[in-house]
Amino acid sequence: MIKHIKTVLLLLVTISMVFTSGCFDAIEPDEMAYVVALGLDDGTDDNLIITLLLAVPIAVGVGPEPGEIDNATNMITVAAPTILGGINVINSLISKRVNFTQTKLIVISKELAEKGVERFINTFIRFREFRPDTYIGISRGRAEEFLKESKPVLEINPSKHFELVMESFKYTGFSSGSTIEEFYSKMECTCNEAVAVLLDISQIEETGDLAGVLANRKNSDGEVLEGDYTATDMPVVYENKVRQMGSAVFKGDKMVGELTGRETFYYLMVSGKLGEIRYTMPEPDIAAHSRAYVTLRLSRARKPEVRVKIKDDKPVVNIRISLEGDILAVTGNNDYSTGESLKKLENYASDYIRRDVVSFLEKTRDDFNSDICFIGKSVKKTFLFWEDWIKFNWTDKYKNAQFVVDVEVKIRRSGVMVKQVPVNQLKGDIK
Amino acid sequence: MDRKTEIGNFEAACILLNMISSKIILDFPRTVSEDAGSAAWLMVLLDSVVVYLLFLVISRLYRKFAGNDLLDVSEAAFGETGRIIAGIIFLIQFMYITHVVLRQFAEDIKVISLASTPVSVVILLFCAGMIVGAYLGIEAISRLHVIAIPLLAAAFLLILLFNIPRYDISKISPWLGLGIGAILKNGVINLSYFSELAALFFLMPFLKKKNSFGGVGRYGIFFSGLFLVLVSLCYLMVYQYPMSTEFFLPVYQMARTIKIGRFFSRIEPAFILIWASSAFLYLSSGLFFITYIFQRTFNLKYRKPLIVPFIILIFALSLLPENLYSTLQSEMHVYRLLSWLVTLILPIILLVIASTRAKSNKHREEARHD
Repeated sequence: MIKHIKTVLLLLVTISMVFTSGCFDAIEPDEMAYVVALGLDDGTDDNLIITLLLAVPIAVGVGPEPGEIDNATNMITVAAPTILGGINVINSLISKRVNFTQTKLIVISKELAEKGVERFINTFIRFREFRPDTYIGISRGRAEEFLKESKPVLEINPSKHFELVMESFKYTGFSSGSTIEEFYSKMECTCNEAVAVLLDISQIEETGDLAGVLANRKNSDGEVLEGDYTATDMPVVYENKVRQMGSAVFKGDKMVGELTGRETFYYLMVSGKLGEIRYTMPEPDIAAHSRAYVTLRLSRARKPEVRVKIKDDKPVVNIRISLEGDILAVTGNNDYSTGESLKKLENYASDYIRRDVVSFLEKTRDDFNSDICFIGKSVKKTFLFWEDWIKFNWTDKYKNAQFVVDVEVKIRRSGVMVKQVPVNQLKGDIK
Repeated sequence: MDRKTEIGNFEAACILLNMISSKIILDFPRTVSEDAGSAAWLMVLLDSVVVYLLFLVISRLYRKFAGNDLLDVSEAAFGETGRIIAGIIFLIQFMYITHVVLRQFAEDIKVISLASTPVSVVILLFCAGMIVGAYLGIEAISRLHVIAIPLLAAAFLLILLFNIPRYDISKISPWLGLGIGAILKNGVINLSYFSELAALFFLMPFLKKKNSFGGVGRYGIFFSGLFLVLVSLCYLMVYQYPMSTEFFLPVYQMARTIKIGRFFSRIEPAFILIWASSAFLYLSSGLFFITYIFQRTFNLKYRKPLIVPFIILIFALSLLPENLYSTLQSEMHVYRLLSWLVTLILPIILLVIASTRAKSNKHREEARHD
């Protein structure tokens, strides 16, 4: 009898462990307000202006008309000295509890980023509701305005919209796709610095405004290639006014500068994060004003090799970048699909990209004094002891770095055409 | 009753493996990186080699006492008083680590999952599992280990595998971290990470093949050493020093960041399941050994009546530390400082003295016969 009672008791204890272990923490999904994006602005009296873009699950589920973000999301702004303090205030006035487990984007205003972001990043890393893969972006204007203008047009799920937009760097190369954990890791690293996605709201209302924008962005050859601008100046007319293009460069926890979309592409190339992107450059041996371009699909052939030698206390950085790609489009009359022409295009592309990479690296050295391309890790590998590495002070040495860059582009395919017969060869120049 | 219980070599090795390696899912990767910086994995590797070599010495000395636990050896060395003193020492060791680990597991689960549940309730739930395990005895515990350990090991390896895209070998440079001095000095104290090896000395009477004690220990140490080195190496290749010293639960943090495509992410709830299973197995084994050592020390007839008093004691002790930090401090500054002496040095001393006494007794016997 006693044996039976013991068995029943053991069984009860075991079953109760399985079914009661979550009772205290039970909360239904419809009792929570899911934050899709969080914005941070500088407020008065050391307060933060915290803006939450909340998902309205019912509206997302039913599916509003494209562009009717107001139906799928709800915005709320609060002023408080700390993020979670502000959330507490919001919790007291909405019927649900704010939850960050579905947050996809954190937007910090440039004004705040220039003062230092360590105090916010600490909250994002420490508080378990924030996912490590949440994207972080720096808004040139106010983060609140940025979120207000976010009107996804092609996607009814706002959370998916932000996630897909932020992931687009893998096939555009125009932004860096920084997540909070990656950002924090680089911010804390002694051998490199952090970058974040650069965001802004476009002021362009109609096609007529484009000429003015482009005129201001011309390079030394008098042309504006795609990505030669930041989020503010993107020559795009679109219903959704928010833009992401380029990167915000940090030193420690403070923002020190900006990269254009094209410079961000070189950043991805040197740091080994390049996906498969489309890259346009002028045709070889064609005068700049003739406006003939080649578009290549480029991707990383091998991991970039970075070797650093210290000569007279100055780092000499040797970088070897191997790319491969396909010809996607040629706007001029020349055919680069085979033979010598192909070789010529490869050499030209290698040299063209090399010059741009050197000028990008010099910008990180001279304008920002910030090693965002992981160059320091090659130096760190030559040290045996932590104390010696800290004394070496790489962040200080970077300002004296010299760059020797070697780029090799190999064209593997030429699209679905093996050669191009220009019309003027068949019919002559038609006037 | 328990004396008649028999367990196989694989079962014993699984118990040893879980008891030594369960700290992987607690704070182990972080604390070793605090001690040796980016060379933490090297320190753990050295510790594993040293423990393996010391165990070879112990198992060689133990051959004469195959089938006896360490309390029998203590009795052979110093008589009944020796057995009681050694029993009390090992009892304190197991009591200390069991209540600390119980509090750690409870605090950890509170931080990452049951945030609103009072810690005492979480501890009570673990205590219920411990009672069930200790009540059913070492045979049931060992068989559960055999089922769970391969699954837990596979899940752990999957977490490490899914993190491969984030590994960067440059993050474990500078290669000698905080220096050779720090590696050696802290390495000695960190031998205590193998302190659960003491469990093997009390599993001895339950082994089916009494002479396979050495093999069980060697496999147990080899695989736990491998897991400990692997986790410290992989963790440091993801989070460089000093960032590696910041995370509360390093392996949980690694599990949180796994993302394969847009659909395979947020796998850490599975991690909590693995983690709770390992915790239940560890704590049940801990309570079993506490009651077993007490029974053997004081030559009591029954073990099961000791379960409830000891679980009350462990429950009360686990609630003593004021907060999570105090719990971790008490483990780091008290337990780790001493337990390697109890697990690795004390058995050698006892075995040498017991062997010498056995030899002199034998000579005396032979002389009497002559």
